[in-house]
Amino acid sequence: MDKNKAHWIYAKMNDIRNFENQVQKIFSTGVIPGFVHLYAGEEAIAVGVCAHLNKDDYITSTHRGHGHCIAKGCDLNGMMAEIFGKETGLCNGKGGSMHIADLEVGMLGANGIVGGGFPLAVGAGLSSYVQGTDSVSVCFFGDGANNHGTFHEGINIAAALKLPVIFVAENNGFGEATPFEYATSAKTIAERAKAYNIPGVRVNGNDVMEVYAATEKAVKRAKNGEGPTLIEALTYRTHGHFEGDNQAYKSEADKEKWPVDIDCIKKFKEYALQNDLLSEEELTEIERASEQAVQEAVEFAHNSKEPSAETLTENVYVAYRQ
Amino acid sequence: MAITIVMPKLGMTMTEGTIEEWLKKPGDAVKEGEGIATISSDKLTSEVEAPKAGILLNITKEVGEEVPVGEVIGFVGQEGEEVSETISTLLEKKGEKPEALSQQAAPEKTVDPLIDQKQDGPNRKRRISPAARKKAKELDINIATIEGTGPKGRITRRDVERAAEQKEVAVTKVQTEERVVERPIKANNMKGLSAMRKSIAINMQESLANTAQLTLHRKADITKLLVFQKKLREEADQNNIEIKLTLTVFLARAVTLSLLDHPEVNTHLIDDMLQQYEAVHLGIATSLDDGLVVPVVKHAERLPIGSLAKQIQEITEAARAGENLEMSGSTFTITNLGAQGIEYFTPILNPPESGILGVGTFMKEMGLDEHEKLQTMIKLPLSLTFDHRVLDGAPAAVFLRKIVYYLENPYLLLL
Amino acid sequence: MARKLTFSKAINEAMDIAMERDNKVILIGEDVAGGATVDHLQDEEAWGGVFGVTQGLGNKYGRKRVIDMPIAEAGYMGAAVAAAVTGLRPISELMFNDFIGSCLDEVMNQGAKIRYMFGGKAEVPLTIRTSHGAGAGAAAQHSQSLYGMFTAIPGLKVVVPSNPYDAKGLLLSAIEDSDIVAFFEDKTLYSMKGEVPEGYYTIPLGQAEIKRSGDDLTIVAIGKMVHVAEEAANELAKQGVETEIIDPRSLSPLDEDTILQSVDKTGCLLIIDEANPRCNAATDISAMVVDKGFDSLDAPIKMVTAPHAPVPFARNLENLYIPNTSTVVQTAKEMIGKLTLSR
Repeated sequence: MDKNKAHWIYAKMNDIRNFENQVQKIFSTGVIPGFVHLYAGEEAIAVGVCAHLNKDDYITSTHRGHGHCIAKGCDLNGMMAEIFGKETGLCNGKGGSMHIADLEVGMLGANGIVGGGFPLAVGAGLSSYVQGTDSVSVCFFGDGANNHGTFHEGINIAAALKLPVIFVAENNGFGEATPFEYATSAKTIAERAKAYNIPGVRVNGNDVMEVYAATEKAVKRAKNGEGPTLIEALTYRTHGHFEGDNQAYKSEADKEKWPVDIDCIKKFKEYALQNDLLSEEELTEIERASEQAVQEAVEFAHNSKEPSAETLTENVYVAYRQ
Repeated sequence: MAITIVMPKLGMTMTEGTIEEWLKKPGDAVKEGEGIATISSDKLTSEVEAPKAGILLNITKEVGEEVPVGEVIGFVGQEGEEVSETISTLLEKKGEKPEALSQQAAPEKTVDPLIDQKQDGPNRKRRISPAARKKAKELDINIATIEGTGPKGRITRRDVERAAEQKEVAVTKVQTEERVVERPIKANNMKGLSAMRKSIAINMQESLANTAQLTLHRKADITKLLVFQKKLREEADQNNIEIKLTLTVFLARAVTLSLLDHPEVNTHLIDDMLQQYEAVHLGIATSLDDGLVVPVVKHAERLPIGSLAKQIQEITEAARAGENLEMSGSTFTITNLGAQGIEYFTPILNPPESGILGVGTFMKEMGLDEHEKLQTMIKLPLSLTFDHRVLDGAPAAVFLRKIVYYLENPYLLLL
Repeated sequence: MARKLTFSKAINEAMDIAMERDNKVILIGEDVAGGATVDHLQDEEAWGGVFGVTQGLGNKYGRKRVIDMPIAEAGYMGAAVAAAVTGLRPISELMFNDFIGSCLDEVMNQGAKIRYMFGGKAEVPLTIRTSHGAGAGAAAQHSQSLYGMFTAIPGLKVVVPSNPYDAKGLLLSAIEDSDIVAFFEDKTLYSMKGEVPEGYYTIPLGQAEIKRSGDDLTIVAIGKMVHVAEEAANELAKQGVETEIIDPRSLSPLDEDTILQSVDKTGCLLIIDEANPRCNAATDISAMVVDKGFDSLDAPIKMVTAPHAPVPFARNLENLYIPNTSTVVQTAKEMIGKLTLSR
């Protein structure tokens, strides 16, 4: 890993953390409509995976999608404005937190439907395969979705057709309030890969370097036409399912297993310092710049206008004769 | 181009009219709307107006002739125009029958109820809601006469209902429920009679020829009634209620109540079928300068005394003004010769009714009251003619006694 | 003074009563108990569904009758269908009606058709409870009102309650019904309070309620829209227009007679439906009235619905999306003749 990549990784992880902390704070004031699902704590996965992707590659995401968007290069201002429901948002205020998308950077959308992303990622892979481009597509999904029919249907199609798709499970221990172990008959998500005759690996999702390494292999395999890989990144959902969740279902044992000091950002900071990738000054500067960028995004969102009334019925179709 | 002048249709039931007089001669110049002939129907006379300005070219019907509604009675056109030519050209051009043509030019336009003349374009369908259309059919209201208050002038059900209410208030301009008997009788020696006279003649002759009439006479003591009348009038005056509380009003009320008590009198005998009615439609015989008409108060049983007074006044005034009222549908008739000083008479039934009450002039008499004291009393002579085919003498007498009872106990009239 | 409960609690109580009366009644769905197998979790702390509607039932009836399901709608909805056919009387919660996308086959092709396809030899006594409706900022995939779609499918019954009292009585009827009943709960009504009698009572499916009587205009309103209708009726009353409000309560079966009788009285029909305007419950009712009550109509039937667009996220757009009182009042006035308005 070179200095630039380390810089990029540390910056993105900080952006996600700062962004989510701001969203949490603002959501509690009632400015943001609806509900939000926060990604803070799971940054290593999105960032570790997207470190290998460029603009031509695609990702699909989940209801917990802010981190994926930032890692894939979505504009912070546009994201924050979207979450506020403003016309300057990435989706002009039509989508909101659960539906942030930016095709310009290969972001195929956060998703309100659990399991909605599998077939979409397979479709992006199919498109790449048929058109002969070099791009890969990544499907981020939660452990709750690994029991959904689309998981099995999507992975099987990608495996059978050897499409350039990477399936990244973010196993944070809970599907909503239900523990992973209760809802999933398999011991791990990764071992389900066996059934589809593709590689399945389990990595520490709090260690960005582990995620980075696993993704590197998967991308290579995809680009070589060997088909998909299933990566299961173990992590812990430090927030509730949604903001306002009492989280009574979380046990002390879990909390001990995932103490705050194994925080993925702290972990990478130590790694970067130890390996002379980034200096203390550089790290501090990244942190400062990130805080500032997120602060600016909040101001941008605050200062933006609501969408105009006539946009209510715009963009239902490309063309519609009436 | 010559235009036809046709026999207009006056009112709902007219089927033919008589030319009373030509006001213009062929060759006379006429203005649009100018009267060119007088015609009469059943009970009304009216003028036929020139449909457009020009010369009265031709007259096709003579004075005294009976002409079916819509038939041509003459032509108006330009000087020197030949009628036959114009007709034939018209026919060729339009490919229509002469009858259709003549109707086209009828002074009283026959309006297609669905064509709203006010809308842009002559063929604009008149807007009417399904509910209004159904209601109009039920109430037999001509859609063309209704003004729509809905969006875009649509006639709504309420519009129809309102039109129906107004008609009720104006009293029986249209007759809807009861069967009307038209039994043509060939009367002799009727030449030269006006249409109204002719109508009276036919009706009266038919009545006497086809029913078994018997008249009962009896006096009513109306001393209390006159006091009561005076009191009511004063009350009305003090409260600025403008109604004419004539004796006829109280009589009408007494008759109505009696008919409700004795529905066997409130009947029509038509073709051996006796029809008994719950509704009381009172005919009020009203004399005109040149005849007699019987306008009808519909549903008298629903009217308290004040409303009854108003309606009697309205219809009799309208009848005297020669307004085109519907004169049929009554279930019982009251006729009054009191103003002429008559005491008793034998009124002739107004077919197909079973009874008619003749009212004479009231007069002072000396008599014994309930305490056998000699008193001045005011007595009103009444003559009830009834159809013996329907009623016998005794029940008829009971009915007449009931009328007397109400008149002698006038407070009951308020109930 | 009668007891007041929230919409949410009234629904909870109906399920409680049904489960107590009949041990064949089970409740399944995603987190309907909440936090299954978490040792330390006290049941009263457990979610009881994402909206908390099923709270306490897991504790009372045990995890064998209140069963958390993996996020696998096709799987558990199909399972609910066959469990119903084979002797249970399940209540299956579909967290958001939008998720029917994940299990339409199980509902439409399996559940709805089994009785008919099997020659009438099967019963499917399944109740699908689901949330619907915009107004919560939940955006396009969590805010739709899809009862019209369900109404179109033979074999499904469809109930849309508008208040706590009806919700309890209708849900008990739905659970006791021997056919599949889709029970739609407007998520923005969950906190609405209303009088709810204690204990057992039912409201038959297919029986509309006349919420307000009037001679000038009939408004048929579905679910939450009943409250919009009531506000509009108050406003219209000030302008001399007397509105009759009908809450059909169930869309399938539909109480056609009550609607037709009202329209026959008023001549004017306005339908409020929060769903999109094409092929929804409003168009269905409208078509029925034109077919069976044409001669009662004094004006074209009007429908106030959401626009033909997905539910937007931005708050201002979402507010525009949902039918509102002023649109209803405006539309009503455009329908009614001057004669009525001038009174």
